[in-house]
Amino acid sequence: MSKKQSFYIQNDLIMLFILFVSVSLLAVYNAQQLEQYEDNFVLKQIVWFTVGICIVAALQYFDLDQMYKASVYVYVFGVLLLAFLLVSPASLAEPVNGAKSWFTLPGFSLQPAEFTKMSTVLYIAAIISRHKDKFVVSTIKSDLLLLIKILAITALPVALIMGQPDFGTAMVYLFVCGMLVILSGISWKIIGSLIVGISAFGGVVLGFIVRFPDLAKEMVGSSNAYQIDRIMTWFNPDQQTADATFNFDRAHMALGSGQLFGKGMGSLQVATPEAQTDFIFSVIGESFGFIGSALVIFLYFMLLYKLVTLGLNMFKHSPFGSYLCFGFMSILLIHVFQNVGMNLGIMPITGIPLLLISYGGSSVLSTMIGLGLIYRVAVEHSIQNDYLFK
Amino acid sequence: MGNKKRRKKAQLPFRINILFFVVFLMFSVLVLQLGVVQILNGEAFQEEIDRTIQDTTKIPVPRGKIYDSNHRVVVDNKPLYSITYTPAKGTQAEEKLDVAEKLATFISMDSEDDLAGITDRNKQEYVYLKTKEDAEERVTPEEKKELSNSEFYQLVLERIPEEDLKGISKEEYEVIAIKKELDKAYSLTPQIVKNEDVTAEEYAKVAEHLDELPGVNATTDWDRDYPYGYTFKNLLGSITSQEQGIPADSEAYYMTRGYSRNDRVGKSGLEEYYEESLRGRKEQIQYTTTKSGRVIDTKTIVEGQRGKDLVLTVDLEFQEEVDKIVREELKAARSKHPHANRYLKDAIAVVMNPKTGDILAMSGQTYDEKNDEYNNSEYKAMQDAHRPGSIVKGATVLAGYESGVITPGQVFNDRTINIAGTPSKSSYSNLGPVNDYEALRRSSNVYMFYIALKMGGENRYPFPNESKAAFDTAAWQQMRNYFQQFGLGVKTGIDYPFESTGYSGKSARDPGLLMDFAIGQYDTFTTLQMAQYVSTIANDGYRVSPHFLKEIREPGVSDEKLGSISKSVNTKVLNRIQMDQDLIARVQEGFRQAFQEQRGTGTSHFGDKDYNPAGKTGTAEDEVYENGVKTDVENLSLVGYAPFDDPEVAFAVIAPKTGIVKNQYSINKEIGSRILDTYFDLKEERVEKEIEENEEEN
Repeated sequence: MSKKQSFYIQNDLIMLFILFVSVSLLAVYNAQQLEQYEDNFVLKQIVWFTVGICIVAALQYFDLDQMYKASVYVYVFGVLLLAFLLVSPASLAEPVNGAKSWFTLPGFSLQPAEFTKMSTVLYIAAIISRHKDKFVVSTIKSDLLLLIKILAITALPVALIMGQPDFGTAMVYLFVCGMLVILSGISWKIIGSLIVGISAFGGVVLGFIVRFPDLAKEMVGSSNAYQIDRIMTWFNPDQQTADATFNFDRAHMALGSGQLFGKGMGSLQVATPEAQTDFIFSVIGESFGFIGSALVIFLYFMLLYKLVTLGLNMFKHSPFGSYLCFGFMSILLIHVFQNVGMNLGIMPITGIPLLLISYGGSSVLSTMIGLGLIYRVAVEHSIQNDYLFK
Repeated sequence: MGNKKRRKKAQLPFRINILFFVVFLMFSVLVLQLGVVQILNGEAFQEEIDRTIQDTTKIPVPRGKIYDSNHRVVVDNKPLYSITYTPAKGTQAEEKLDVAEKLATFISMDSEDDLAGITDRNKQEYVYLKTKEDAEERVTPEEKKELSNSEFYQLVLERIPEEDLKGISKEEYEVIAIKKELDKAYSLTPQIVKNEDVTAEEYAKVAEHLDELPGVNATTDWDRDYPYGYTFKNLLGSITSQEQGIPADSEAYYMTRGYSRNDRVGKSGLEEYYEESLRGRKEQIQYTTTKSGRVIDTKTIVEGQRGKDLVLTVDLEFQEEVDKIVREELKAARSKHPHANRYLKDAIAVVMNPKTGDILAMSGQTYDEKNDEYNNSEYKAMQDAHRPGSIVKGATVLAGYESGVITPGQVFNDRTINIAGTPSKSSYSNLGPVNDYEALRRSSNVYMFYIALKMGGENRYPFPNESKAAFDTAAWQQMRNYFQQFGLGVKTGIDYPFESTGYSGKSARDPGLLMDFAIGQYDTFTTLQMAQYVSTIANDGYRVSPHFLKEIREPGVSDEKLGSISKSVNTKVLNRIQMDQDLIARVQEGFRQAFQEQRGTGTSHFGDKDYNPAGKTGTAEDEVYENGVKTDVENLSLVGYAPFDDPEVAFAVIAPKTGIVKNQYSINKEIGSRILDTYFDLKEERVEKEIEENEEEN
């Protein structure tokens, strides 16, 4: 890195960000050509990204220590927001498809669970880092204590999100939580037994759902029955109702028909519902074919790689920054794998956006907040390196 | 401790590496699956998308109009407007309400029926859509949690307060009535919102604002309109309604010709006969839709064209006059001898151009005893056959010449002929010696009898009283062959779905019957056949087929102007009679004398006319059986043409079943002379008018 360059200019992150924004705008623009909806999504997406950039810039005024200190307040605020959502009247939080996940304010909607992902990761990172300061030598006992802390921090928002109910987002939290547990250095013995326990339980539940879907639907209640449908779709797409498979069929067909090179801009043939949000990857697939889609996947891989190396390099300076990177990486990983996998038919259908590309204010802004934190980590990493080589 | 620390430090990179390897594997799986979906199965998906469905929609076009010979509209199309609604897939209730509200400003929907059909449910749905948020708040979130979407909706509707329903204004009722119709529509299927009493103004308003009314269309259907009322309507015929569609018994015929089941087709008369021209060509639009129902291509395969127009040979003004004459004379005859003429119910007249076959008027009047009224029955001219009486004598004389049994100028003594075993046969009185002219002028039966006898092989003259007559039955065929050359006993070839050829009696071994035939007292003929017969004589032996159609016109660009001629009907000569022109001229002269000379049977009515008429009267013995009681009646007939030297109009009249009474009303001659008078008056009038117009122009 040249000395002249400010620490605040992180070339690789900026480059990646520009690429993602370009892909996002192209894809959303293309989805808009289907004329299924009247909104100008591209324009709005540009607005969201612009606001996001401002947030990233604003976050650079805080150093990691300040973030560390603020994390608990941010976390508590996020949890309170989720709790408030649950008790909000319909005028403030209108249920969509039976789930109360959004604050519906005049002009725009806000999905608090998107933001609390970041606040939760922030706080878990802080907790792990503090724990490591406290217990320099980890024992089974200390590991267990850390595990309980992490689980407790995660459990609170997950419970509130399940109450909306939003199964998919809750799963994201659990995944991120699991990743951080593994990376927090907790003994394999504990993790191993935890994994065995959870997979045994999960296996039984899944087996039960697949064998007795009607009974399962009864148990979760009518408003949650669609979750069972979605899981069933995953296992046996042919036998599901047209309603449950319709969106997937369209997306899958669109994606597949892109073939090797895609159809180019403005020549989409398949009108997929929610093409600009959850099924944006099918638009990319249809427009730019295998080559374009694989490049997008590679782009995500690059970003993940960047986060992992940054986290690894940051560990010795600031475990907090390091875990922030890992947390954000986990969020990104599960979203990408789940969303792309859903489009490809290897993951169940959940309403999880493709971060950085899908249209949507809440997901863009929360991702930008995450990016802002990471950017700060990268900046501090550059500053630390500068010290070292001076 | 140091050892532990080292272990701990190594822990993170190790785990991260493992993890990142897993991430790499996960992404590899994604790319692999991407390859499967896009490269391996991509083509199949594309084929699935390209699989399209093509539907062809046929849009009916208005039927052709019918004009009379002077280009006056006889059958018109009266537009019937209708407003339809075709919702797109997934149209929401709010959108329909929006359309209904806009539509309500353009059309009225406040008939009793419309408003009576509004149920409480309709009102609730309306109020719900108008006050959606308030309405939904009446159901608490706790309650909502327990309910499915449809149960929730049901409950929301139920909780709409009564006052809200009562507060609906009259205008809003109209909106509800319209929305109700809109709700009936299935996606992509047109639903008629209003088609009764749509005014031209409503139609225009909706048509102007179609862009604001998604799914709404303003279309026109049509109905037949008859500016001349019942005049000639029987012959024009009728068409089926949309509900009746194509006639079930000839479904295959129509279906193979591209008709749809609910197409309106001519079912009688000229509408049926000229269906092919009048129907027009439907516009065919092909919609190509993808599997998902998205219309990707709309192509007009066949340009629509409204039906071609017919121009008739009939002059409606003249037709009206002829109808009037026939009706008045029928009335006059009936009122002059109410009892004797109690069986006189019909009077029929056909007027045509003898040279071209143009039907100028065809009139029939029938007395309806039950309702005591006179009705149009023009079709009887082609359907009802009667014994024509002496009018056929022109054909008999020509048959005589041609068969060689008489020569021009031949004289027979008109005295009663008595054949053994047959009633005695005579003219209305013994006329003494008559030649061929006189035989026609004074209508000698005996002259015709000798022709018949001679053709039968009985050559004795005078015929010995009470002896048996030789008779070769081949004479029947010979005589009928001659008659058929004039159109008597065969089809006239008129352009109409149906015509009768009359009834041919048995060719019995009885010379008396052939003698009856020779004076028109045996076979029956239609009035149209009689008109063709006299036209053939007037037209120097050329038998032309009568026709109603003058020309077929392409659809006009405007309502006022006729289109270009698509097809003109040429004079169709069916045959020329065998007889030489000089023989025909003798019959023509005989006909002239019958109308113009002293003691001519028609001179009383035609002698003083300046249009130089010629013709032949007829009185046929007929009988009516009522409750097994036979009553003798007479058919009074008349054929004629004018002017004698250059005929332009020929006619045939018959008034069947008049009573046998002294001073019988000469209904046949009254009708005949008045028809000719009217024809020439009208002609003169038109010429004068034309001159006037020309003068004005100059």
